[in-house]
Amino acid sequence: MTPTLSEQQIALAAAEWYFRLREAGADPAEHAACAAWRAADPRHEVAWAKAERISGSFAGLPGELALPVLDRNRNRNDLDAQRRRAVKTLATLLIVAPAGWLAWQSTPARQVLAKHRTATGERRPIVLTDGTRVHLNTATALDVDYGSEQRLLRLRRGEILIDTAPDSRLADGLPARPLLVETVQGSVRALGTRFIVRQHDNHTRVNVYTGAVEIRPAAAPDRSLRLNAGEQARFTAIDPGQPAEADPHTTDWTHGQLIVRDMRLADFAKELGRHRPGVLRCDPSVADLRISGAFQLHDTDAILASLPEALPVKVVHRSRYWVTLTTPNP
Amino acid sequence: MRNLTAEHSLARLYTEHHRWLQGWLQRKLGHAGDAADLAQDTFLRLLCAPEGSPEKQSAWQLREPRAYLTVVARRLMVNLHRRRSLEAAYLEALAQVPQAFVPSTEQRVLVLETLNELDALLDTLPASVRSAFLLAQIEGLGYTEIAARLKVSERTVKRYMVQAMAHCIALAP
Repeated sequence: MTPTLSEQQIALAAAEWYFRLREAGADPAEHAACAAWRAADPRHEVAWAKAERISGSFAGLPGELALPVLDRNRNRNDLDAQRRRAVKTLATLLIVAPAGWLAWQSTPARQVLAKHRTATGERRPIVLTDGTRVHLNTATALDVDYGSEQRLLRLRRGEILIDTAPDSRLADGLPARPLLVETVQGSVRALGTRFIVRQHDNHTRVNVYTGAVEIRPAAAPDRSLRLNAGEQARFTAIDPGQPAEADPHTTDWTHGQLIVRDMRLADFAKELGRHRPGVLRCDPSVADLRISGAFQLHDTDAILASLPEALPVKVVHRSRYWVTLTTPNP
Repeated sequence: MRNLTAEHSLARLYTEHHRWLQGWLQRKLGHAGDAADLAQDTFLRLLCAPEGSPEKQSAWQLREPRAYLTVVARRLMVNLHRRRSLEAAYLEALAQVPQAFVPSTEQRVLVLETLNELDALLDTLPASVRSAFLLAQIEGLGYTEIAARLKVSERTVKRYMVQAMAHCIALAP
């Protein structure tokens, strides 16, 4: 159990390299020297990977929970400091909360304060007051703002499938309110319909299954685009995009499935990564492998474990939060 | 054949000393349930220990069976205490976090497991080394700030960083 002396020396060298590179910044000579050290002995590489994995584990933890827990045995003074820190955090939050809707530009605030949220790996259907059904995919934040003029859904992040209901106010003889989904890049107006909206980092993708929608880019509202059933489009704030054939598999997640055909492993890892917390990395050496299959999203660990049966890959768990797909013979 | 012999000696160890070990643990822990669990864990640990590790040195097993069992059991007891204090601190920290920031049940379990893994690695580090390392890794503080907080020199902080990381690397599975 106790590491041998030379193992301890290797660990020490790895730790020294680790911090030396951090200080050196991007000095190529230092990086090269470190790479040479790592390559000199497989045990060096193992120790180096451990250093990265340990740092990665820390990075995956919420700091406001991790510090008081891991540093729980500090002396009295420090405990007081921690308490002050906790109070400070709380005070900050109390200030942010009432002004929250003014601070929508800030992504974290947007996600935390949104009315309907799903955690990473969670999927949930909800029914709105007018009978419209919305299914939230993993890591999604949605605000519902129904007014007298319109029914507005603000997609803060993530992905939603919408089955619109006819406006219930029609029964009271009032004019129907349009239903709009708003993303960072613009709005999607429902024209009696079933469609899916996904907020990507720098664009929005819409797939329409029934009825039609109208896309309006936020910075070019006059360049609207009508999408009919069976069509999809990718739009930005200035460009409504072009209609293309809809992807029938975009709604698979509503049944807890991920179905792919001939997908690049790198894209697959990115897609799967949406459904599990932490980092799922795909090494360039295996990025272009192709994968097909139907996968059950409720157990992403099982999906990862099954990959080596289908493809020449190795799944390296540096921690629960840090998984890499790589080649089995490095 | 070697494996068979090892398993055979473990089976003998179990039948002859399990009850005694459980009694010993109960006196130490003052809790029958914990004692039963840890006695079980002790044997499980021996069964699953990799070849060549101290747990598999069967000569010692047979010569001093009870001393041998208590060494393993004692380590598990320390782990149990560490884990309990970790869980208590975690619950307390969760209670301090506003509702909107509390992670989902599934994430809470994942976070606890990661915390437990890291806590085990950090366990025997001196307090100030541990604190310095945590302030850098979790809070992302620079050496200057850590030095000021812990009232040590920056050079010492640097040394602490390397010491803590080396310690974790050496212990990490």
